[in-house]
Amino acid sequence: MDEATRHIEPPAYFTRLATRLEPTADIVKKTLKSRGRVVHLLYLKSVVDMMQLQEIVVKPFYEMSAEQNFPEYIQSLPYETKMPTGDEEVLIEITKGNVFVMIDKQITLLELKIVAANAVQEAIMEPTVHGPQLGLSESSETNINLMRQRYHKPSLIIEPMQLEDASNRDIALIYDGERVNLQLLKKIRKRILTLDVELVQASGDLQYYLNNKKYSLFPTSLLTERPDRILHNMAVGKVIILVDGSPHAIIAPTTFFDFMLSMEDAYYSFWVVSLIRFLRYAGLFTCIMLPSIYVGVTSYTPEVLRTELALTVAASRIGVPYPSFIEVFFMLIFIELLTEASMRLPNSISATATTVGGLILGTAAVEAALTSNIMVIVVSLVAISTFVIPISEMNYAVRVCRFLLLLYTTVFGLAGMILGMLGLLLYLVNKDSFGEPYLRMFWKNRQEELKVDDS
Amino acid sequence: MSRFVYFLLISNMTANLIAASPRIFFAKSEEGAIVTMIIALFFGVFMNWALITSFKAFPGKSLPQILSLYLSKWITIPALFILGVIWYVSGLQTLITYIDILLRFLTPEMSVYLVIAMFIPVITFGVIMQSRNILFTLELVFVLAFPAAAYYIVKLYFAEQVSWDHVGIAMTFIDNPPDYTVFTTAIYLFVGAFDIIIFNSFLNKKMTFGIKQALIVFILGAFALFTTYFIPIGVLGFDQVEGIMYPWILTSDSIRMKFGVIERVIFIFLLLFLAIAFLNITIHWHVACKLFQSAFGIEHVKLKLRKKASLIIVVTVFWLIAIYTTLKVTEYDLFLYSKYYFNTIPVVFIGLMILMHVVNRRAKS
Repeated sequence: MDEATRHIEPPAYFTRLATRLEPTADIVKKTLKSRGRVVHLLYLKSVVDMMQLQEIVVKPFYEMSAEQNFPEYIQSLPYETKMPTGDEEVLIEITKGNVFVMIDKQITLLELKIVAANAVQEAIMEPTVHGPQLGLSESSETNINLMRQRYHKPSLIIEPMQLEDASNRDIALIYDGERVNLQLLKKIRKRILTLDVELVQASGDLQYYLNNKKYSLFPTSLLTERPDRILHNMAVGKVIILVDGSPHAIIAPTTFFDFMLSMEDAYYSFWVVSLIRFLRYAGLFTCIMLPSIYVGVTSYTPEVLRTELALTVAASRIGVPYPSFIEVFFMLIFIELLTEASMRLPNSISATATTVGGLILGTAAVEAALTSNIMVIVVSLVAISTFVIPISEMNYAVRVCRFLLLLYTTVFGLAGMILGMLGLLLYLVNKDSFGEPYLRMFWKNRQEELKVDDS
Repeated sequence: MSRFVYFLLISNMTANLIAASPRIFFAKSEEGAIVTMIIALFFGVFMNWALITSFKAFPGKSLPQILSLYLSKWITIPALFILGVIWYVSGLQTLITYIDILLRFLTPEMSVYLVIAMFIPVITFGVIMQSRNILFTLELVFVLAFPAAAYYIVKLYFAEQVSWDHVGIAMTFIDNPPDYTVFTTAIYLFVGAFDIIIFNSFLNKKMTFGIKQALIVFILGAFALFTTYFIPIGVLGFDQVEGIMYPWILTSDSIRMKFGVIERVIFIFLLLFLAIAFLNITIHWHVACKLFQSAFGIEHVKLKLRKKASLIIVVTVFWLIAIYTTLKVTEYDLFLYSKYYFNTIPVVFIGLMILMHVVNRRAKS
């Protein structure tokens, strides 16, 4: 009798952990007892796979004969995770879906978590015709599996880390140990560990915090959902950061040219890719400069254009009651609104919004002489060429730049436009991403050139 | 030589088209301009050779760093100060000329203040930028501007308006004795590479100046001089070219693009050269800024704040002088002062070479 009660009464450590978790409803404290053997289990039923628990722990416990060693069995299970030191850490492990098993003095954590969102999602942000059609999933374990599946090298290193924020989010650094720049790795690791943030929800906000500069306009790390892009970057020695629960990976460091690269470029022939690249860069310059050119040419120096064209532009502006820069601002804001609206709306309604906004309002605005025909062409061209940029973050940055350049041109004219562009170039060249130059030309091999600079 | 040295060289050569140099050449076109330019061409190559060779022993070190290692403060500080002034004036000259051109040809209805204000934020940012990044910017602008520049040059050489007979007439004045001012103006085209007195700290590879490099510099210089001198003569006529304020702008404006969206080539010229002039000013002022900072020993001050403050002071002084002179200087003054400025170049060059000679000898012993 005395012995029996001593076994049933859970040990002090177990009770201590249990009381810490007590207020929550999904906590399960269980004591399995059979033939003098006692096992204490502690877990959260919402994150633990019950079927597995039943198969792996409960059933063998009752089926094993007395001679067999149950504690040995538990320890030999492949589900065992490393036991952290400290109560707090153990509790965090339990909330992640580990089952706390206590047999006499032996304590073990078994990872029997169930993840609801481990389905691989279709690539929505960066779709390609060729190449993998599926992106990442929301579970970082599935994502790591995706990496491993495509990159069979022992030098692929996965380095788990834990954020010190409110959610104790798991993140993982993934890199090729042979190719990665160690200096860079140290820098990234340090920046993640020194993050002082309230809550990280997804890769997106982690990327923002990693940036370290509050008012930086251009992204210094890339957010992607494509496994092929991740591998492409990992193979050149970059570091990938995965956040558990987010279907996007962060790639760092990045240069400006990385944002102008679509994965499709790797899957087509040279000439096709050259043409597409040319179009993309042409689109980049068009969407930044065209509104400014319009203002500079119509309001400051109409003689730049050939006479016939200058007259056409002037004629189309007859009846427009305000100077060209107001017209451009008005139309650009209008198109931004349209873009935002069609992005946020459900698919079924967004078509209506674009039709009403683009076609009907555009035509009506011209007929009401609120804007010129040519302005509508300019704005449409700008809107289209913005979407040629493959990565949406760069897309947003460019949209902001366009307004800044427009302001500079409005004040200073065509010469201001060129100077503004040069200023933008200066800004980009002066920027760095984790110590890597953001915008510079490479004539030789990239790594080779960087090495020459550093030596 | 590092490719950046060529970029520096080319940017200086091209920037001269808008400065006072063409006018100085044309003023002396009947008094030995051609023969002087030929002499200057060889001397220019020699200058580049002397510069690169003198810096050969110090890869990855800028002039202030080298001087502080081997010479006493009493020589270093005045030398750096004088060089700083020379470099500052070089940038200032381009700035004033370009502001004048903008006011005349691109935005005539704008006020001077507005045009100056347009330059201030962008150039200031360029000047206070890291030196290495200035070189990268230079390269990028070259790549971006190259198509327009190539088109422009081809258009010039193959334009109907170029009368090669006038060039022939100009050639007949080859037997006149050389002229000092033309000589100094022509060798100013070759001083671009001298920016390495600061940028050398980022050119870690040991530079060589052999036959190949000499040939490249020679060809670049010959092309630049030939274009600067003969194309306006071909387009505008040998007799008329002397009396023109900005020969290159009129030259560009005589050429049309029949099927282009932009009909007048002058706008390509103006916008292209705005970029070149901007680069030129930024590079020269950046070098000047660094020279002043090391002359006053500010580089050694550990405190970051004080370094920033010194930068602000230097840049403010730069702009105050620039604004004052831009407002005061007339076109005639600019022409005159440019002449004086060009005339000092050989002296500065000889001084710098003596300095480097001493330093090289001390470094060896």
